[in-house]
Amino acid sequence: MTTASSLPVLLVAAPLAAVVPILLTGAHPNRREAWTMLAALLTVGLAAVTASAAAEGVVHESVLGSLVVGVPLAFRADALGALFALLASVLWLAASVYSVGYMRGLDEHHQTRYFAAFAASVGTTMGVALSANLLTLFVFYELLTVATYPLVTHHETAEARRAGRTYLAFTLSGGVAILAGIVVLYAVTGSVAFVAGGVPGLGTEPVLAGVAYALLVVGFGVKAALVPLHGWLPDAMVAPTPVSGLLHAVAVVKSGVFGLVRVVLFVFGAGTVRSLGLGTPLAVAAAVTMLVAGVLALRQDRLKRGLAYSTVSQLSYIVLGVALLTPAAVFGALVHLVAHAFMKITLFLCAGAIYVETGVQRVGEMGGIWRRLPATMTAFAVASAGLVGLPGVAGFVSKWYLVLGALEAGAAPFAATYLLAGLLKLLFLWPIVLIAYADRDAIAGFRPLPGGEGAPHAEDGGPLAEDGGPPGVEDDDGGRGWDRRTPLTESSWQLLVPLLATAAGALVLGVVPDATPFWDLAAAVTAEVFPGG
Amino acid sequence: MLDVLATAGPGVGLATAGPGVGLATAGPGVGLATAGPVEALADRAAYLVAVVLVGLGLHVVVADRNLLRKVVGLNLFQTGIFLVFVAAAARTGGRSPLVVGPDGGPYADPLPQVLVLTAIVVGVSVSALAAALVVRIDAEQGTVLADELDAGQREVTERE
Amino acid sequence: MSDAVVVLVALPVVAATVPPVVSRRVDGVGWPVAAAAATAQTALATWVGWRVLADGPLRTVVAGLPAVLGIELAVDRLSAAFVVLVAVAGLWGLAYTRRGGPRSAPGASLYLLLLAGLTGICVVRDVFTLYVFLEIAGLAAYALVALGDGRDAAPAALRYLLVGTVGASLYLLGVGYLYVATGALNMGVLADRLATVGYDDRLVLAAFVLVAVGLGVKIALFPVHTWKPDAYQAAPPGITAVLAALVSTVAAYALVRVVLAAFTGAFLAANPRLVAGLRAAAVLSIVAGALLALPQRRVRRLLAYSSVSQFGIAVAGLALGTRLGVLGGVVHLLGHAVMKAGAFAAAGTIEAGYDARTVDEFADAAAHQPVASAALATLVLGLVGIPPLVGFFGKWYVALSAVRTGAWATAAAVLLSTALSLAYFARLLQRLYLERREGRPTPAPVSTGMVASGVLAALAALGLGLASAELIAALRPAIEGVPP
Repeated sequence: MTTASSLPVLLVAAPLAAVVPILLTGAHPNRREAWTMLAALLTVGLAAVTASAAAEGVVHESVLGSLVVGVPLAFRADALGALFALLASVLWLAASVYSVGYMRGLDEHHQTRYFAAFAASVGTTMGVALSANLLTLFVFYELLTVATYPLVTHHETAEARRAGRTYLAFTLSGGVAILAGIVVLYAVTGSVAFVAGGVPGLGTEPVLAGVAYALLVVGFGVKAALVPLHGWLPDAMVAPTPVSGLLHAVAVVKSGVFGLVRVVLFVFGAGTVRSLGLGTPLAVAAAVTMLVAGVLALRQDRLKRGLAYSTVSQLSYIVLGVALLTPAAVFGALVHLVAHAFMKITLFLCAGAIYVETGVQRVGEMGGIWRRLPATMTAFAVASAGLVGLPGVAGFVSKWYLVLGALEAGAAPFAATYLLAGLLKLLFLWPIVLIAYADRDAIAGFRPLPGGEGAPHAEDGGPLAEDGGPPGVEDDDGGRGWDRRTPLTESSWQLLVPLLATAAGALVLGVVPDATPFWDLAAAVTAEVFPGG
Repeated sequence: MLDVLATAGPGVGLATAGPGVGLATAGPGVGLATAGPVEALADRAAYLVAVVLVGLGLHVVVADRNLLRKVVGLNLFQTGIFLVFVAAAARTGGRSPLVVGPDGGPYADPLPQVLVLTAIVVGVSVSALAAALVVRIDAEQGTVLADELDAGQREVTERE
Repeated sequence: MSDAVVVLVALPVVAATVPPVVSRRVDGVGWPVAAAAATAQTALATWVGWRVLADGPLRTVVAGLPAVLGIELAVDRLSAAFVVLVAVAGLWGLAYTRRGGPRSAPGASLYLLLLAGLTGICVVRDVFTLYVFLEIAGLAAYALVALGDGRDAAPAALRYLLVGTVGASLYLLGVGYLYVATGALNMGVLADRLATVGYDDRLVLAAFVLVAVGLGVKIALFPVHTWKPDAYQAAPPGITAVLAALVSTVAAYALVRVVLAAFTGAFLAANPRLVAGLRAAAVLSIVAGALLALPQRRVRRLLAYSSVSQFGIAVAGLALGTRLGVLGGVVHLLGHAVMKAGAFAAAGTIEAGYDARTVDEFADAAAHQPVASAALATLVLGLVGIPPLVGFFGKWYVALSAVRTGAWATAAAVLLSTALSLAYFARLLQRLYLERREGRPTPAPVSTGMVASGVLAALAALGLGLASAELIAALRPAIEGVPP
């Protein structure tokens, strides 16, 4: 049941409206941060209302005039949109609290620009999530790129600028492909609206439909980090950690995946994709990405880069699930979209906390660090377990459905791919956990695979203190072990509470997933898209 | 006078003595059909001259180093174009278009001549402005040769 | 009421005579007279536009003669859009030039003559009178360029003059051929007579090519664009902004008008190869303009080459020969005028306030001139084609029409132009916000008007973008004779 309402517009506007007050209160940090928090709370509230409505089948819709002739600027909070919006808003709240601790802990410059761009990024993500048609989605998708650029290049070093240029080049080129696909689509069908089960009329022009599909997949595949379009992501790790967490868990990459889900299930529809044979190429690309990225993660010595490759791999879990076109696989993919977000943001927030508190960025230097950061590393371990797919943490449930879905589709090789990828995750994450919990001396110099990048330097080439960490932060004084700390003293509460919260979220999703709204929403989407069951 | 034009306006006038028809009945067009190549060329001499002027003028504008000569070349170019207009207006046995009585025709077409008058005025203004610019360039840079002008005007294009 | 059309052209002409006369007695009279005239012009243009929207086209023939004899002036929705653009841009430019630009009496006079010539082009329905107004505007533009401060101003103006006059003369020759073929100069009469003469007549085809090339010079398509970078670099910054907004834009309008009203869509339909050639020229401009922009270090030249590329998109829209394509091209013309003018104004503000000419010198401008930099960044993103700024929408309609008609190369070029624009603008954006500059700049005074003009343009770019569908709907009735 669709109802016209301003709820979707408000949900998009809430974060965006915060941008101006943030810019204006730049000189008063506490007031400025208050605006961010206010907007984040408001957004979560609105998202919760929207999500509960969508879970009951009430779809809120706002139409704001014509975007181009024949295509409205419209928002529609259906189950899929509400799922993404809720995810983004909840994690924004966590990331915002964390950002305060992080930016102040490192005494970062340009904090006003940072928080304003953060708010703008979330706002545009909401726009992507709640778009009612491909063109509206495209508008916000491009604006998302613009909003996140200042965040990627935040540190303004040569490396950051280069990463920013790469980011722009990849994502805007992807945007060109998406636009080309939309134009072809519109020329063929006269519609770009999202319809569960697909827009009618695509089957009549298989060649053009195929061309549009290819363009859209490649275009969205850039942000969704499908190999070989993923090149921007590891370099973008040069950004401050909350940004990496946001990019990896919430906004940019999930927007790419979201776009793919919309294209496959709501523009083309499972039936058309299957009949045009377009599902298999996508599935293969996703499988390849899964394994290649999983291997590349093993070569990384810098923690964040490794997490980046792991993200590339995990995103293709979702893409493959969608490409398999069975209810179980799609359900699993959607649950994984949420699960991965919680787990990955936890890992990134931990990495950031490690950096703020000790200046360490490389796995090789993390020996025994659990003593210094017990609660943080516990959260890290929990999240890692989830990514590997151990029961009790979020990743297990989604993996279960994905493998089930693969078998259901008669694609046993893809099921095997999932399991193999899980193994690669294990190989990547387990040594890190081991190093963190083991004695420093015993594991000095351990690395899963040779590789990595030269001498340590501070995040993104910034200034280094003599002991090799960011200036003014304590270090382990060269190899005798870390200070023991308790959870109450290991780190500032702004850093610790969010990451514990997201880790707890991952646990909840693993133990009682059906108690979360995400479960119902994912089920609703699956029901919408596969009407027969 | 205006009445004459109104009732037998250019549209009609042209139909009877117009370029399309005129050329066919009393103009170079007929010459082509019946006479040899030399005669054909002779009838079209004006157009040939026009082509030469246009080509020459354009060449001077592009190739000459002296800015003032470029301006002269521009004028040659424009004159060639004007000649096309005037030649197209001409009629075999036509006289200048000042109506003296009911049986004064055939007249050359007055309209292109008027157009050319306007265009000449435009051309004069352009030439005046151009000459003023050349004088200023000479005063500022001490030369009117194009290749001696400031290197600053040339495109600054370096790779990063 | 249709006298209003004549007043639209006459007002700026008459106003232009005032400053040189009055300035013999009173000083500083240039800018106020220009401002008064521009305000009146804007009011009149808006009123005319509103009337046209409500009641249909306004039409008059000078001296009351029948159209076939006299000079017809008419304002339909398409003309109204450009008449309003000229008036508003003329007024807007004065906000900049109050402090930043030429304020002398001759300068003001030339400025008003420019507006008069451009408005004349927009309302005239006679191909020869179009030439006259083209040259009026051209002369004014050449002289305005020469008002620049540097030693490069006069040579740039002369080059503009030489190239521009050659172009206008080629157009004139085309007019001559049309006259020889049909005996008519009025666009409506031409349309009828060309149908009789035949669209494959060699004289007519030659006329089309000459008209297209001649106007192409004024639009600055590749390869006859060479006057633009020098002229835009050398002119006073406020003048560059107005020239960038109006001169090539109105020339492109003239091309649309002559092709649709005189030659008509039937001619286009009968000569697919010729039209394909025009499309190819447009695509060449899109690509060549972008490639030539890449190595540019001076910001104004960068923006000038960007124009070469952008006008390729607009002409490509026309060359698709469909109503959607033409409308897309027109939207792009209007949008680009706003964006490019704003970009020049914002860049000029930074030039003055931050003593910066090259891309490298613009480094860290955002810290010193935050508002102007923000405006410049927004407008640059608009030029790249980020929605919902207006630069995206013209491309959408042109690309859509290209795909629908199977013009794949055109569609690809228009879509890729986004990536190409990014390639040459990315460095500028990066410098503005992320890099530091060596050396000490010596700033010149910057007025609120200068900054405000950039901001206004950025807001207009956003507004036009969000209203693009309404704009298309409003203009659609004016585009006739071509398939949808």
